[in-house]
Amino acid sequence: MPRSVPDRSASSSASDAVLSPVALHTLLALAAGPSHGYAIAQEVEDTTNHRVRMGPGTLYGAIHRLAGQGLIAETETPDDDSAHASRRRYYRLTPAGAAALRREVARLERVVDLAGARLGL
Amino acid sequence: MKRALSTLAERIYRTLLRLYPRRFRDEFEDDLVRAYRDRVAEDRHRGPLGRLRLLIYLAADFLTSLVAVHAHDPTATSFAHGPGSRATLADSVPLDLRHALRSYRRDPVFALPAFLTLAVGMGAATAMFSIADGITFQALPYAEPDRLVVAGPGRERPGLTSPADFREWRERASTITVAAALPQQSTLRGDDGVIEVSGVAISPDFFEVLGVERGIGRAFLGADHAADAPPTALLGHGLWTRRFGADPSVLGRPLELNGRLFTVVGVLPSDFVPPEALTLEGAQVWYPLAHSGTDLTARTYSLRVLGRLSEGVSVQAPHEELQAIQSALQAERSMPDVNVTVAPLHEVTVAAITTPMRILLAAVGLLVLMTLGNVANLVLLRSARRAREASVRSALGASRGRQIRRALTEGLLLSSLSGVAAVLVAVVAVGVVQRVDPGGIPRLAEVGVDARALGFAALLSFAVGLLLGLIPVARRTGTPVLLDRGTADRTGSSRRLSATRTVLVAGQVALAANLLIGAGLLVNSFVRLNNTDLGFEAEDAAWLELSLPTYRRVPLDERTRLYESVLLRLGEIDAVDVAGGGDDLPFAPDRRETWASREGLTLDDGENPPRAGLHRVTPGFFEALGTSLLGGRAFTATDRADSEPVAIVNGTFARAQWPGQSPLGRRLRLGHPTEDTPWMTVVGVVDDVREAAPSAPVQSEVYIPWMQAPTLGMSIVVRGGADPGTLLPALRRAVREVDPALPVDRAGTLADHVAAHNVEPRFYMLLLTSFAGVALVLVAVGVYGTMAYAVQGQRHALGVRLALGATRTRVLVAVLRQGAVIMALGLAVGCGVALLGGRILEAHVFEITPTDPPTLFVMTAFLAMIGLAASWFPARRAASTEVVDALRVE
Repeated sequence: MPRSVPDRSASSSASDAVLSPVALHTLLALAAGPSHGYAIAQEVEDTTNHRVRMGPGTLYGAIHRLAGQGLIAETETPDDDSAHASRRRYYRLTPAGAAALRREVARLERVVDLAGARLGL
Repeated sequence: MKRALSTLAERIYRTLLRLYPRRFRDEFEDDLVRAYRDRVAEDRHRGPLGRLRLLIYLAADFLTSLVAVHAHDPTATSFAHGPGSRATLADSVPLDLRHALRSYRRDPVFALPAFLTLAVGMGAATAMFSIADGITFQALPYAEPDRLVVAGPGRERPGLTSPADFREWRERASTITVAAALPQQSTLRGDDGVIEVSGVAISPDFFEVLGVERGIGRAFLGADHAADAPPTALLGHGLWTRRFGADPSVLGRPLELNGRLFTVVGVLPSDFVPPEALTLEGAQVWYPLAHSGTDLTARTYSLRVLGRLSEGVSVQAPHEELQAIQSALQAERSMPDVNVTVAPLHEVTVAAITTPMRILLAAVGLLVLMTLGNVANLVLLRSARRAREASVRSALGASRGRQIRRALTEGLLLSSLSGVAAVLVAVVAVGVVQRVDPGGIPRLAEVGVDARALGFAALLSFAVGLLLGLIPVARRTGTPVLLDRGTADRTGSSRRLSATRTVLVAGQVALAANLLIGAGLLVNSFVRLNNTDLGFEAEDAAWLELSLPTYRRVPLDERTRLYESVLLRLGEIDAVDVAGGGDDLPFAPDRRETWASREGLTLDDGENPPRAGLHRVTPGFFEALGTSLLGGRAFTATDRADSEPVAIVNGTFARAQWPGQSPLGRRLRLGHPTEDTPWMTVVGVVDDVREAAPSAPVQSEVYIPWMQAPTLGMSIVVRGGADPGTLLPALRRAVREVDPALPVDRAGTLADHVAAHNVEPRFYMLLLTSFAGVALVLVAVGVYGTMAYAVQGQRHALGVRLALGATRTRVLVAVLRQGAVIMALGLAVGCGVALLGGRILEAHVFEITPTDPPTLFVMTAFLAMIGLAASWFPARRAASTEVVDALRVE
């Protein structure tokens, strides 16, 4: 299967761009509620059965990018009683992020439909 | 220690973070480090394997995100492809590659030495990996090898087990299935006489326990192991092809083995390797223990016991079970308890690694260190030279990401090209090691440069490529972009060789000095070894080893008659001058020593009589061997069992026992002076023969007539004027004519016999010499590269000097002096280490000390000459600089 190379030059507007797997799963993880970086990484690796690897660089690279595109935003640290929680930065999905996620899922649904029709599934 | 390591790892990670764009780093540095720590703390990243997984994981993450983050960094502008256009990764990779290729073509002074050095260094490392991996990590070639163990009495290693004990183990044990093997030298009769083959008598289930597929024909059935069953045998694939031309009709045919008729029922698969841990290497014929002539109720320790652990059982349970069975047995027999050991088959196999392997490892280690030093040095030089180019690029707006990508592409391109060459080097190197196999490297024949070795080479070149790419980038990070860096290069102090570079090259010189001195010592001692007086004439003589099979049960007097007629018949061959036999040849592996007491010897309480090697020889033996008689007579046909006991001693024994007197006519007895052994009259004195090994010192030896104490086997030496190698078929034929059922075990020329015992010193010598050769090349490349670069960097300054009236000779000397300083530093350290560490070679040098001054001097001088020659060319180029060119440069 040829891999589609996302056109990164256009992605600053982030409106119609195909989301990369890492971005998609990061948004998906945050769709469940605000979370901090490492928890996002673990959630993504767990839900994808470690197919999508989220090392430190990939994780914060994605956060950096998604935040820059306005799809996620830093949020207040919830009142967590564990001592180190205060040092962690939490992120939430922005409305734009939720919309991008919905668009992406809709796109994937169309792909699945198409594939179903072509492959006779 | 562990903590220090993990802190160091984190520091390295923090340093690497500096390669991300500044904005990204400022915002996320703490988070990245925290995420890194979280990863390190994960359970699946514990232990050495987990750490390796973590390392690969982090490296992949770092590299991909580095490129991605830089590509998205809004602060970076990229004029490299014209304003406004931002190249995607797919566009830029070919571009970077082209750029990298061009930069290497423009800079062959860097590219070629770096390529060669990396190819050799990584090749050596890959070869070593193949060997080490094949021996230690590769699974043994049997089904589920993890469940295979060796069992036997012993505290640390499982030893031999008696047939009686084995039977009990087999019947009673439930956590382990055991099988036994008994290696036996066997005689096989063919149309052209008999040959000796390595046979193995095995218990029921042996191949089932080992997990070997059936080859051609059938496997042994339970019924084959019954004592009253017709004898059956399996052939090894090698014997079947060599001896029977791979003829399938051999199956069902009778075969005379050890004087009995066996039916061949099958042939083992061609890829079957008999387990070395059971000392079965080279085994060719397999038959049931029931037909091996072994007493299956005997309590003598003779069997190697192999076991397969029951499913899901660790070594512990069978160990306890066998120990309990054995303890009960010992108690039943009122015998003291015996320790039973159960060890994994793999562990027992690998335990055979010995000195050659270690020396190999040490030499490769030195070589790889040199390679790394050499390349690091070249890269540093290159990056210093290109600092100017880099500053210009970033001043023009090339993004950091872009520069890093370029540097990485360059590094990876160079390392992958060298990696391909390294694999070729490794294939050749492994072949060479196998060719000169010194023994002591288990499973060497199974070794090859396989997929895992290729993976290793790929990983290694990837890591080296990263290093090559990142060294210059990391050095540049943080320094302000200065356009006048280039001018600093021309005028400032950086034109002198930096301390780092001097130390790197000097370090290489030191390492090379050690390899070279080691090689010099071994070559020197090998030459001495070859020129040493063995006490016999190795040229123009052949030898053969005969042994009467025990099953023939030939009585003593008949044995004597048989061998006498063999010697007589051999002597009748035209080309043969003289033939003589003995119970062993010089360098026999099992030297027999005895006490030898001269008449009148008095001993203090608790003192032992002098020891001497004991040899039985026939008349004509010394003549055939070429050992000269110093006095008295040799043995004659009249020295027989019923005549007066006589002996011949060697010079060393005579001088020690009867100093200043003639030993002739004196008497000695074997054993303690008070023992009741017969007195033997000394009738002759022979020259000292180095009986133990070519490199071993001469010892006391006593020779007695073979006819007075005949042995089952005989080693015969035949001296003939013609080429002794061509004599061998005639000799074998002559033996067959006398007795077709008397097997010739082995035969060869005496010269080959001597050479075979020099294999190990030869291996060390070849190995160290070739490594020293490579080290020499590396040093020459290192010194040349350093000096050439230094001279290039100093062209401007040199031009100024010349313009101001310095003579060309002075410029030449000035450059040479820089090279000489490096060499002197390196040689001083190298000689120091060689003097201190020479003891490693102590056991491997002959007649010289490991700190032999002439060798040290010659090798040091040689290396110094190479070093000076390597700096000569750059120096001459510097001296021939045209003033105008030099000042115009840049």
